[in-house]
Amino acid sequence: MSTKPTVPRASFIRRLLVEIEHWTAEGLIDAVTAARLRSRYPEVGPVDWRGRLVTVLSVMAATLLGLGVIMFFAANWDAIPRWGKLALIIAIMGGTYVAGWLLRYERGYPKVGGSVIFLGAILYGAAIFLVAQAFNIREHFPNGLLLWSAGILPLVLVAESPYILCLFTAVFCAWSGTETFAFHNFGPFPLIVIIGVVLPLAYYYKHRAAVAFGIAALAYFLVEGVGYELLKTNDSPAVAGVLPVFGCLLWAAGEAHRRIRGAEKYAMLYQAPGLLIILSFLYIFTFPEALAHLGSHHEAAAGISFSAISMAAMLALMLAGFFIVPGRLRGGSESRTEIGAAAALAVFFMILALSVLPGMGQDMDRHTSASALGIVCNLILFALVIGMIVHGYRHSRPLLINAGIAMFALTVGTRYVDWFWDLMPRSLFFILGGAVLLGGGIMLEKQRRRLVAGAREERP
Amino acid sequence: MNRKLMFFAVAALQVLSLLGMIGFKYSVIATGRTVTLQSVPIDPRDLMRGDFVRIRFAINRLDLTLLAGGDSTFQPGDEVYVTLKDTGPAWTPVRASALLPVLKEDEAVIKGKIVNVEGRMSLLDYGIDSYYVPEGKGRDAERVRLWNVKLDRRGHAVIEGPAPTQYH
Repeated sequence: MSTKPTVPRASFIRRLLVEIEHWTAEGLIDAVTAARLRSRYPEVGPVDWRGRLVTVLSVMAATLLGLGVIMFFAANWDAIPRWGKLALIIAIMGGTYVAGWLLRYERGYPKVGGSVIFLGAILYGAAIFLVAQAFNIREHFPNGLLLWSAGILPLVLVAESPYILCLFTAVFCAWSGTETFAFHNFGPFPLIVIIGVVLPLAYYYKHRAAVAFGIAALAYFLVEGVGYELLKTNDSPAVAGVLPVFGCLLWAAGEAHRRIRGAEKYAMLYQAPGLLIILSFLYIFTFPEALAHLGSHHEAAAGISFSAISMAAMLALMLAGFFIVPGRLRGGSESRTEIGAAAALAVFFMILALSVLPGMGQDMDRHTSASALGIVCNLILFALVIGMIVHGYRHSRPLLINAGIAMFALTVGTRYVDWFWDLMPRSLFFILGGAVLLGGGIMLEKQRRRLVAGAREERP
Repeated sequence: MNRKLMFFAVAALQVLSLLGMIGFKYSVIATGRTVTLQSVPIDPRDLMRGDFVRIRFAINRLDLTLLAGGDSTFQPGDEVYVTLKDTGPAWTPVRASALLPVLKEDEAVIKGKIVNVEGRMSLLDYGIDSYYVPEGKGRDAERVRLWNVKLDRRGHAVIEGPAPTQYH
């Protein structure tokens, strides 16, 4: 069993402090031991649910206000003269920022003030498009999105607002996507901004939502690259490998986060979507029809493709993690197993995308090859599911156990429909299917509860 | 620099960027040359911002190989300068080049970017793909076939509006 570093969540520490009080009252431990136990953990304050509620409500209110202002102008726009529109836009935007500043920094309402500043950042975007409309400026319209994102990025730093960072990420991705899909301009600049600006700032502010936006932006960049490649070529097999390899990278990155003190709270942001992507693609690849379809749309790109470069880069990162990260940190063997498994899966997806599927070609044997490949993918999915459950139980990982059992049930149900739909009368099919599902469901639920309970007991 | 100053400096920069958008447009209008371009409008409505017409000009689709005098090295993403000449009723392309050309007295230049290449024909974007019109006037604007466009010396384009003389 590994000895991973434990920096427990604040909720765990609060619970533990209550338990220590009970143990002391019951005489299980003395006051000295209780004090030593307390000193092992950092101090945590009471749950600030009011603060969180105020933040959430303020952001919702700011969003509603912003939408209301935009809709009001949209409805009455034609009645206002052009320069009057400009004055109105600037006055409302400026007034919002002044109000936000006063509330946040001078009147003692930091959360509401922060939300009003967030509203100002939304209004700036609305102002760009309203000015563009009033003065008939439509020169390359994605520039409006770029200007919006560039204008609010300094606010992230000055107002220390991770919510504006989330807005920046969304607007920046919208700009990048418009350039790629509407104007066929695709390059590494968005990736540089995500990795060099968005993610570092999100970690600097220790804000899970901002990190999640950064991860989503990375996925979106890959989708853009894949889409751009598909616009130029018809290389479906190559692009089918990019996202599953990204899923593997997410899993490995999440594992690295679990091993870094203070970064554990971000691990699930990587691992949950990573696992979802891996299992979803592997599930799709168990269908020979899907494999045959992908194999029939192969037209190699001229030069080195985006798909191949990005998959190789992601695999290199995983291998670096496999050889470097666990060596420096505690819990090495568990991490090596998980990062190694992710890298191995990535290699499988790469071989599938870059070699096997393109090799299936257009010939008559394609469906036979796809059936054989489907069996291989079924076996790999089955092995992965078993591995997830075993590893999850050994290392107290309810996510792996739950996802593994859910995937097992889905695969078994799918294969039941695949294999028996044509063999049985429809009524018998449904009766037997229902009975199998009910029985299987009860059995799996019992097993799942037992495994998860066992895993939780094992958790240090 | 204290936070308050920086905060309001950012807000001021945002306002300046709005004014800059307007300033750029008016600088092209003030210094540019008016040319008339032929168009085929498409897709007339945007729910958020009232009516506007999306415009596709005849010069959006060009045989650049022919216009560049046999130079067929243009790729999607490349910038292209298209030289225009008044052939009545609209201005038509006479040359295309990767660099800003030296113009004759009766010529103007528009800067575009290649979006796609289909055989010999290239699809170009000049950043003037739509024009706002007052609420409810979108249908009238759809019928416009000639548009006045201001072009500055570096090929930047701004739509002035429908040309006074129209044909259908």
